[in-house]
Amino acid sequence: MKKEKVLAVILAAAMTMGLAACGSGESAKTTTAQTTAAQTTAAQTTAASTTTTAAAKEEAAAETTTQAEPKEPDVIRILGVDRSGTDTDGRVVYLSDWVNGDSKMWQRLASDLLEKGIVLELDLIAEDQYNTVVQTQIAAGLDCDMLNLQGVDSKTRLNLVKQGILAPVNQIWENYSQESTKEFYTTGNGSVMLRDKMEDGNVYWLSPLTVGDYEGRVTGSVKGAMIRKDWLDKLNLPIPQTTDELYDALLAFQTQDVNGNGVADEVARAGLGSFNNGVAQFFGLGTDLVCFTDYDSDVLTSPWYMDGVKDYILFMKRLYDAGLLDLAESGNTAKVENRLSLFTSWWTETWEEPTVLTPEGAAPVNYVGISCDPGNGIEPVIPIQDGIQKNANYQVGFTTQANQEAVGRLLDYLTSDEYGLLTECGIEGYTYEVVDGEITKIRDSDISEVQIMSVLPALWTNNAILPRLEIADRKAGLDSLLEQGWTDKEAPNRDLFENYDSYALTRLSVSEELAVATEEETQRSSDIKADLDTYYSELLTKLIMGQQSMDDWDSYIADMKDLGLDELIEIYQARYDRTK
Amino acid sequence: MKKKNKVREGNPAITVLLYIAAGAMAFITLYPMYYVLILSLSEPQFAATMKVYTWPKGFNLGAYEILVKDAKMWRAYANTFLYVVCNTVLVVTTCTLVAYGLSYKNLIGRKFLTMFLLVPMYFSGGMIPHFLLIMKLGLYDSPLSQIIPAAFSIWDIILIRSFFRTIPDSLVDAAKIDGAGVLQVLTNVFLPLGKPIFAVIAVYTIVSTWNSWFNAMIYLPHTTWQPLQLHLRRVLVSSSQTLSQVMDQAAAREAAAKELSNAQLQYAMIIFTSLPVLAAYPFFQRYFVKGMVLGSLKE
Repeated sequence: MKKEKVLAVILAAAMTMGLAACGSGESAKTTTAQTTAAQTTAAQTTAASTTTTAAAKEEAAAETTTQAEPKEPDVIRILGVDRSGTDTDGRVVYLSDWVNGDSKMWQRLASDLLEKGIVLELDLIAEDQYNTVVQTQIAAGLDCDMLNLQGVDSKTRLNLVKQGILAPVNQIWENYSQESTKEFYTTGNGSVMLRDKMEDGNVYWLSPLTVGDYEGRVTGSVKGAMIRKDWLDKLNLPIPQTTDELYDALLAFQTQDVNGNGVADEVARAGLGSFNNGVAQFFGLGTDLVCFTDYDSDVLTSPWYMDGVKDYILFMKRLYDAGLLDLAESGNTAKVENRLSLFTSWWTETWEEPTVLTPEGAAPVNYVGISCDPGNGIEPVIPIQDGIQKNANYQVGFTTQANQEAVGRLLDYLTSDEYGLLTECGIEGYTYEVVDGEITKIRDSDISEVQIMSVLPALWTNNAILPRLEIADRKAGLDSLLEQGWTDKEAPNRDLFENYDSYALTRLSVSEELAVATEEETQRSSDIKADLDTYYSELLTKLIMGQQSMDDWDSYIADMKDLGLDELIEIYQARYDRTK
Repeated sequence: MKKKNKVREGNPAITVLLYIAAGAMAFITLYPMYYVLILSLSEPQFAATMKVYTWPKGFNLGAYEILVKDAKMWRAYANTFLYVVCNTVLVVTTCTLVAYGLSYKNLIGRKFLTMFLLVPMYFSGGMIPHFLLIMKLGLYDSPLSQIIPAAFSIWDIILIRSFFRTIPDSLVDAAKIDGAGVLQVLTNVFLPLGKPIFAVIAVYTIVSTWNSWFNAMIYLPHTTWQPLQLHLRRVLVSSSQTLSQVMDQAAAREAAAKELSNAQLQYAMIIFTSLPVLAAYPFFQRYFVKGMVLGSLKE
């Protein structure tokens, strides 16, 4: 009986304390208040440099006051994602950890912004929950100055514009930013943002921007088919140059049990229901349902209308019939289990190999980029990013309740080299060093944020709160690959950049090349794609698996035309033409 | 004439068959839990391939180490404990009080009140009106959004009322003859006799509160007051991303980095979040059995 009473008292106390805590209503306010306080403190700490005592600070402040009345910094309230990064020790670190901790990176950003008279007040939401939160907050009435627009669909964005909730960013940079910022967005690299100009002539959001070059030539990265070079070496096979050689190599991997597990289970991953799988590009096909006829062309078409499409399907069928394809729709099991012979990724990647489990004594895993000639007169194409790339991963927008003048100053900072360097490389002497004029990231460090910065950009960007400004030196990237011993991986990339004009290329993503869709285009595209995407994906899969006959080709094309393929191409073409 | 049952009670062959059937049922029920346990203890690379069937492959407590050091997980644990305690106490209290009133046969408007309760039990207002209500009440982003709406359950009221009806009127009359008032009848007659149904309601509430995450996702945008299941969901969702879905190099690198560590972590997290409920269940079992036969016997 006594025990029951004691338990009852404990439970009652827990409930009372809990309810009392609930009633205090700290929750989000604490987050934002602490965030702002931490940021201000951090900024002041950095800015104050030598003054450490309170008296000294007061004295300094008094001195400053006599010279000029210090202006209170403007607060910009941001609704964004609490982005995380994994350091090399495997710890997952969040942006909020940086903000509320003693991150030197965050302190530097806060200090830089404070110099511009800006303090950020953050409302950080977990990544998996952000879509729900942003949609509910839009429904309830947005109360922020700036927000990450991830999860806000085109229709809702148009409504936000119509309702006057989103502010035209172009008018802000025009009226409140420095001349250099205006130039950046109108004639400089940032002018790709103008593709998002809406019918009223205004731009309402900013995208992340990547500007890459190889010895002065503006160019992006390649994302295409990659093969296990260590397996080729083990079987004394050369890197396949033709699709027939590729077939033989993939078959040899299986028949000779190259992974040594006693089972013929070595497979290639090339999605059956899509053209974006690396193999389709061997046959000159674009990566999307609507693509450019070639890299330099202004004309859009569809892979279904391109010469190599039938040969591509027949080749895939050959691979399928021989059991050489990984049919798992998602997941990376085959790769982790050391069974994946070929897949699609960035040609400069080095992060896939450590996730492959190899038996002891096996040669290090090494995926390298390949391009194979189909041998029918069709030139293979290599999917490559634009050199100046407006990424579609996320956008940020500003609300009309924001202090436009402060946002103008924020844009000045976001377009500066200072911001680009801090975001991509960090702080000199802390996260990177300059050796012979070249930036080298510090990789051996016990400090979590230094470890993160050695492989990732700062946590405030890349779908967090601020747009990314990536300046990528492709040559330095390849030199770094060589330093790390990835000779085979570096070679095809170097060859491509050195002999750029001799390669046939295709644009990695078409949607990023287009102007923002009008309301009518959005509606029509969405209606067409709802059925067409399913139809073409199923058709492609069934043709490869032999469940539908190639003899009925014309009827398939007719079906897709009926579903609106040509109209979709026209819509995309019109959107592309508007960017010119 | 009645046909004689040829199989006698205690027949060894039938007993063996029943044991085999019960064993198979137990295996089907327990193996998934055991499977998750051995995956959580195996080396991450084996957990990633999921090819662990009988014993852990290797032995690695790394995921548990990460979990124990995860302050956010402990905070979520404390939040869930808070919600479980508050909701259980409040549900049992509010439902008992309403059910007690409704169990009085002479209560004026008893049928109307019962109907009044039944309508919203079958037809809810839907998510959007509920969201707007929470906003208007100022409960958005407050832990009270997880407590106040859950503090009252019509289904539980019906259950308790049904149980109270099985209590003989003669007991109530005897208490009244001894001078008991309405409140004393509740505290001295209904509450002591109602322990089985309170235990059942408590188990229902504990389990449903422990497992709930959706309301928290809608009404709690910040992690500060989020419950454990939402934290678990976060771990599971972040590990389900495939590299082919991402276009950005940094995102692809980050997904690959999490690929192996998360494989083991998600199983450890499932074990961690299930243990308290699994441990609590046996203590309620005897009441639970009583509650299930509720109303099967009449006075």
